[in-house]
Amino acid sequence: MFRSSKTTFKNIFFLLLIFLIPSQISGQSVLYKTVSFKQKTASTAYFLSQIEKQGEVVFSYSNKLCFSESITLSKNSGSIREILNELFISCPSNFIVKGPKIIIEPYSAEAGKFIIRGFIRDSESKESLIQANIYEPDQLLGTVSNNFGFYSLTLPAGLIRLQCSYVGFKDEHLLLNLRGDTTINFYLKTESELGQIDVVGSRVPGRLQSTRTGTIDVPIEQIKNVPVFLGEVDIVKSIQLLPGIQSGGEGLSEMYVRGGGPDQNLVLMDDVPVYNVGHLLGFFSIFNADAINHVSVIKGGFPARYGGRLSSVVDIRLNDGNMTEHKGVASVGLLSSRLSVEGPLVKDKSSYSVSFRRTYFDLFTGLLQYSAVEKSRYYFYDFNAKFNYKLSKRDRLFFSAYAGKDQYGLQYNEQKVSVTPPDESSETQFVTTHDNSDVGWKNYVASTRWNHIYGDRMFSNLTLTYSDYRFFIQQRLNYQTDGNWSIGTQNYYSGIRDFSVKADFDYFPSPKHYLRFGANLTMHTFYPGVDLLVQEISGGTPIDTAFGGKDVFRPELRTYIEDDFKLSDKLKLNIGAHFSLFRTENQYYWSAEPRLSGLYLINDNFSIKAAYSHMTQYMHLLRTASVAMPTDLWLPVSDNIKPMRASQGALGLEYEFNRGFSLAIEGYYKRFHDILAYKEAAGYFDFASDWEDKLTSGEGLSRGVEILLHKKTGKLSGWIGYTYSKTTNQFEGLNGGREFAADFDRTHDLSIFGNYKFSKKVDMGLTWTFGTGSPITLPETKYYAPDLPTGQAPVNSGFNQFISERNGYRMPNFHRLDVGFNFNKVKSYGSRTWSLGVMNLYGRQNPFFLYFADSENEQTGELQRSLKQFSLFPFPIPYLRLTVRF
Amino acid sequence: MRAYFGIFVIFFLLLASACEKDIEIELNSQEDQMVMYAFIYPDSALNLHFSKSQSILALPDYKQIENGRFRISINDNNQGTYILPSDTVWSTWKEFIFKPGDKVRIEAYERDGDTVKVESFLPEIIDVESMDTTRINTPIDDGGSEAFLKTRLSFTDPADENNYYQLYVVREGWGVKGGDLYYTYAVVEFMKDDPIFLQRDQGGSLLQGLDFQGLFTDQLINGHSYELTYNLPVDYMFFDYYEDKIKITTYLYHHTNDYYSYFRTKILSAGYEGFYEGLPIFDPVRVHNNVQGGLGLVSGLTFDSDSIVLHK
Repeated sequence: MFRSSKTTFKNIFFLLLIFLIPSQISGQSVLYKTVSFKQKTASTAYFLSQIEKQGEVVFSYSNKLCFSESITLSKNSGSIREILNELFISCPSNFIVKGPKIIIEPYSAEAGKFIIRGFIRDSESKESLIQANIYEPDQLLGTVSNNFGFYSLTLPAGLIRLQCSYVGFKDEHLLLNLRGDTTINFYLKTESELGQIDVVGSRVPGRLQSTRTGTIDVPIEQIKNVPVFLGEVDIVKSIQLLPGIQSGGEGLSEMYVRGGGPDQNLVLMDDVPVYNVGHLLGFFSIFNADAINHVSVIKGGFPARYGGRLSSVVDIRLNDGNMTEHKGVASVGLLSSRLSVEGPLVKDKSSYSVSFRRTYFDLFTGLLQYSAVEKSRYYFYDFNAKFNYKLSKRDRLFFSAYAGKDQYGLQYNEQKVSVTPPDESSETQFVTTHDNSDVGWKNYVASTRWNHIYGDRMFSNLTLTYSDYRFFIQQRLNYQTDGNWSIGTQNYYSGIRDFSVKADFDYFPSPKHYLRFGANLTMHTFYPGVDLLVQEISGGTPIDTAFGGKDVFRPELRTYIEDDFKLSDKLKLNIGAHFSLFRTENQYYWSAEPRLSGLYLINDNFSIKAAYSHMTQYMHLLRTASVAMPTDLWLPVSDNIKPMRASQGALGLEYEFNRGFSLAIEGYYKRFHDILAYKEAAGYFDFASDWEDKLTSGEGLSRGVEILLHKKTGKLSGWIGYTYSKTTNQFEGLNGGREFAADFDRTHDLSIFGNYKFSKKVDMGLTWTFGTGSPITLPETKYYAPDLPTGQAPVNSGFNQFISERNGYRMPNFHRLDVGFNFNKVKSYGSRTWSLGVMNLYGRQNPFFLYFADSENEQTGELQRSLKQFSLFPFPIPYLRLTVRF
Repeated sequence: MRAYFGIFVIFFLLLASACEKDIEIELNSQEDQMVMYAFIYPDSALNLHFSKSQSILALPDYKQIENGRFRISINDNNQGTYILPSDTVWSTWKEFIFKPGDKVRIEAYERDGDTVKVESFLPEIIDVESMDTTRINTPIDDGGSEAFLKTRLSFTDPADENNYYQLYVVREGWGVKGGDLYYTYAVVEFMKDDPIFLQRDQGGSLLQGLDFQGLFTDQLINGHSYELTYNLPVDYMFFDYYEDKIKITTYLYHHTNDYYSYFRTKILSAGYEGFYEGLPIFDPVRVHNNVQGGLGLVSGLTFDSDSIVLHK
């Protein structure tokens, strides 16, 4: 009997699925048919009959429905849904579409609502899908998954349809009769699992979409297809192609976002701030794309949960690791090789993801210098590891770590040291020693996170983080003192180390609200420069000496609350507040920052977005030069140096053509206060001055318009991004107090990225970038400079340069075309991809910097002085890489 | 330091793959400005330099002034107007004698051209109250130790004013070579470990800062007596073959703020022995000047000194 009823239920369910889903997909459009009335006031029955006639629908409703003899509408026409909402405003109801029939079912009461919660994951790897949409398409109630793929949705009891959607994945539909709180996990299938079928799917209704302005989610697969320098997949360089984000110079991995400096970007790797994102002086970023799950870039309209930087948040989430099977990716390139492996530790309970990348400059140079007395070497590496363990259905632990290092070393001063055996019976032997010098920088980042689900509506994440950035110089010398061989080592290091504890809560009280709140306490330790000296005389006890800069300990507290809520069908708001407190030596700085962003739907495809945010930054980067140098120092605000602040307003329009294909136009206006710069008579290497004395503070203004046409799916995908902007700074102590163009202010910035899949086996990526030349300070005149009477030695040439205007000139415009191809083949072990391409295809000589120099005129032989342009990559540079997936 | 420059080596290796070419950017036309220099000592003649600035693309370092005049006042007493010679870099004027505390005002102008003016003064002499020396051995960066002459120099900083100083040490040698008098002169590079030279504790670091050539301020000692310690390498005490006498003289210079600032900004703009001068990846440093309406530096400077004399 039981088996029979179960089979019957299954059959009914199957039939419902077949018949209802197509109608429900189109049902959405029935509710959006426009109807009009001759009069605004009439009975409920009259309006329903008119809708039935004009909309060619039939209503079905119970006698519990509240009918009125006279009701006045706000307008004569509107969509069926809008009219029904007004007619039954006193008894809110569900409108369920079944073919031509619309069932009107009044909500019984709060008790008649139930919670559906669960996770949204990739069906193959079980990786969390972040910011995936989950919604009831008829009632237009929905939410998005959080950074761990978790969602919670409260819906009225009864027959409901759930739709789950994520760009690049096929939609999942589910029909269920909701009779109680339930857990539903969605496992979405990717395009590759569906055999290269173009996954477009239905678009997510506008009223369920995010309120966020200035936020771009870039699919990681798109990032991997951007052709890049020497074939090194680089997230930061891909991000630089988005509007509003510029690089500091050709080939560099710095980010200048909406007029802000590179220290104004909060780069989070699994919730941990990373202080240095560059290898090899910023030419490569530290992120290994094979280890990354999701990248989100926020340039404005910052949600309250983020704080601490003025200009952007780059939120990078690493892969958790495949829960069902062991997988791997190995890749060999001209510059480096990388290996990533992932898999279950305990199937469906625990998994790992480990990846490693290393360069081999040093192997080549080692061979070339095999017989040389003096040897040099350079390498960098990245190591990512992540483990997770499901403690229960409600608890999960994550541990992630990153270690990365750049090191340049020299071996020199070869010496033969005589060693006499202790028994003096055998002959004296000689040992070859070398002195060594090493310079480098390293990042260590680790986090432990505990996810817990309280009830059905609250998700919590407790995070302990550690982040350590160090620049170091090491010197090891062998020398003789009074006939004894001794070793002296000296180490210098500077950097910043953070310990942090953070609690974040996601609360889903109803489909109309998504509440987030939390707090974060960080213990910063700044190392402004410490020297350690160790002397070890043979046979003696090592003598340690430490001298130099004092460690600076600074605590920072942050709290926030934000609510993403639906004020009406057309208006969504995200309102939040962020509070921060920072302690210096003798005082506290605090900041209460309002955050507001809103979305108003003009129609279901077309929306207006607006945002205002206020940001405060308590630390800054004391830069060595205009390019990233490892000697750059992170320093906190002090009793004399105030925090930098910025307020930003943005207004944008977004039109979604279809799913994953949209056009966004956004204008912004951003003011900076108390931003820092070196005084005109100071510089990094002036160690005789206190760093506070070398800085001056001023104001900044950035405004611009950004356009992004973004297609995330299909055979042809990519984006066109254009920015028109102007950024100026004004400092009382710089440029005579006059306003000047900010460093890297770029009037026009255009980036085109396209990826085309010719077939399952071949795809092509192309980028073309154009930018107005960066501002540059050039002297116009020179004048006599004598040797000073008390100078120990002449300090420079016989003239001084006179600069009339800071950043008064611009370098020539920049443009470049990069092209790359991927050739894929399925193999017995998995697949392999040959990637080859060319950077700077047409050999454009873009300026890296300009300078004046004397040279001989080749024709006349006369000496002449001219302005010269230095180009880093002036010719086409090919790349080749082999990637194997197993 | 050797390792530190390694990072720049990496940078320049990258640059090695690069190329350069001449480009044309229309520079804003700037009118040539008058340039004036004078370093005024007590009881010495006045040496003056006048010239004009010129386009950065010009090959010569400066342009001569034709038909120039200057008027000088000492302690607000006009000393007259004089014609500037156009055929010398520096002109010497023995008519004027200065003493510590004098205020000097110079106005210079070209016929039918610009007028520039400058005001400065000669700081009071700060007496060297005592100077003692001791021979010591000190560990050095390369391991081992090196012998130094540890020198302590005492002076008192005047209160209620900002004072700018420079410690300047000179080695002179005398002897006879082939029947002629033999004379040597060198500026001594001494160890600047005294905290007065380093407002930030960076001494002895592998990440070395710039050498500010003995310049310091009274920020740490304002209004107090101070015993300044510095180490002279003993190598400077060794006689060469012809020398019979050596004299090591320590000068305690008392500078004006203008001289101090000009000197510092010159060092900063040049970097490590000119290492980053003109390399635009570093922020440009604006060289200080105190000539109103023009460019250059006019400043008084005074000194007191003490010496060590060694005979062969």
